[in-house]
Amino acid sequence: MNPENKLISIQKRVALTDTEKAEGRGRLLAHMALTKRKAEPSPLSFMAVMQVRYGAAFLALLLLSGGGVLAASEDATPGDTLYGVKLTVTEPTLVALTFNRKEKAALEVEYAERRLKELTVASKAKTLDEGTTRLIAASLENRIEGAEEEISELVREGEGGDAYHANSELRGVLSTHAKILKKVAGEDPTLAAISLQIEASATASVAAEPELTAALDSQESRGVLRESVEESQEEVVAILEDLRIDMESASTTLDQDDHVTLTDSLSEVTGILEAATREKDEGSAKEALKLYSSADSMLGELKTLIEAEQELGLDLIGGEE
Amino acid sequence: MKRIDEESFISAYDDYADALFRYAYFRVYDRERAKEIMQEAFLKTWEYLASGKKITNVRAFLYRTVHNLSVNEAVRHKAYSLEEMQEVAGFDPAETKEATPEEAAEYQLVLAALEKLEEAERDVIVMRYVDGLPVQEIAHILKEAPNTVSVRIHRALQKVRDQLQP
Repeated sequence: MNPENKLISIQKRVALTDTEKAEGRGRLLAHMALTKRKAEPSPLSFMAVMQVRYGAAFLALLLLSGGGVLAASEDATPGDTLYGVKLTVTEPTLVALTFNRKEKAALEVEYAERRLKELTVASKAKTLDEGTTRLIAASLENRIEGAEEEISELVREGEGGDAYHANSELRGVLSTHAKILKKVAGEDPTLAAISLQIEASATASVAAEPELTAALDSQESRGVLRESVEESQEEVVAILEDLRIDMESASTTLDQDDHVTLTDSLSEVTGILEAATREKDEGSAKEALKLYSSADSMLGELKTLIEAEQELGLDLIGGEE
Repeated sequence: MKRIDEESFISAYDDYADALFRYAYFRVYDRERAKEIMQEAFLKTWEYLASGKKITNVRAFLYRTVHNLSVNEAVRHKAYSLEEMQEVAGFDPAETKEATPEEAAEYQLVLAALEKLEEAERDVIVMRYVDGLPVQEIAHILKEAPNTVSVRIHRALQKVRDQLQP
């Protein structure tokens, strides 16, 4: 039995007994009966009205309030009262409070991806209104611009490896979600327009590659690229392992075409990883990093497509484009 | 946002109690204390909801509450190692019914390998492999980037592999 299966087998061994679980359930029910809930606030609650009317002043007040509302807004999704706070205050604040440039770039890319997922899910569920769509589009634009700025700063600071890797992740996120969004958008002109903007940003990140390759050359010539290569290698291997688990757990919901496509794609990624390791062993850190970044981007795309198939019921992997 | 009513909160108990118990267990290594922490997390979360506040992701909220309660618990009590507990009281970490002595021995090896991990590594391994949470959700619970979590899982799994190699 491999280590993963041994770990999974713990689930059955470290568990509550039926009696313990029933007792706990009883205690919880008793506690719930004794603790009456307050009435649910109406959709036009004080906070919602204030947020709409007083915009920036309200948000500034939130910042001064000690962060409770910010923390509560982190899980908000389109349609929630605090969703606007998350997009316009919480996330920009968290980015501003991140001082490591590489992490800052990664956070911007992550928020951009989060926005794209929220847009797709809400659109598929038909819960998007015009205001929320505008809010998401504005946030998306800010996060993509933020990521691009951080990548440029990394180049200026001589961190070509980190810049190349971050740009590769950004490009992967944008091109994958443009594909998904196009499928979801259908006849919706606003979503179609956002999809085109995403495609344009993905193209811009491709266009930035010569500059980033030059930055890689510079870093390699200074002999300080090796650390970035090691980090990229570790990250890609971790993502590959994780994807294999996702594929196993998704095996019942994916069709035969999907399996064939995924298996082919994984073989391709494995080939790229082998080539990257060869380059690394032969001392070409630059070529190794480019290959690891490419594998990283491909794996990110596969992972996102599997999630979209499972969560949104879209046929994106083995089906026709 | 869908309101979390009594019925859905009890469903959350049915769905997550075991996983949260395990998460607490691998932090405090004490079955009774882990049970109490898990129970306390549900009671406090309900009080939070009852006070009119909102939660969008109940599972993530419960995990964070268990995490915070276990940190407090660790400060109050000395955490004994698995080895110490076995030496002192022939401690059995859970109500286990081993089919064979070999399985029992293997199980002890896995527990020992987990115990040797750093706490942050053990957290992600338990969430990912024992409880089957996706990386994205673990990252959400821990408020960290998914790639950071993936790398930590990978490193921790490698350590477990090394420990389990004959």
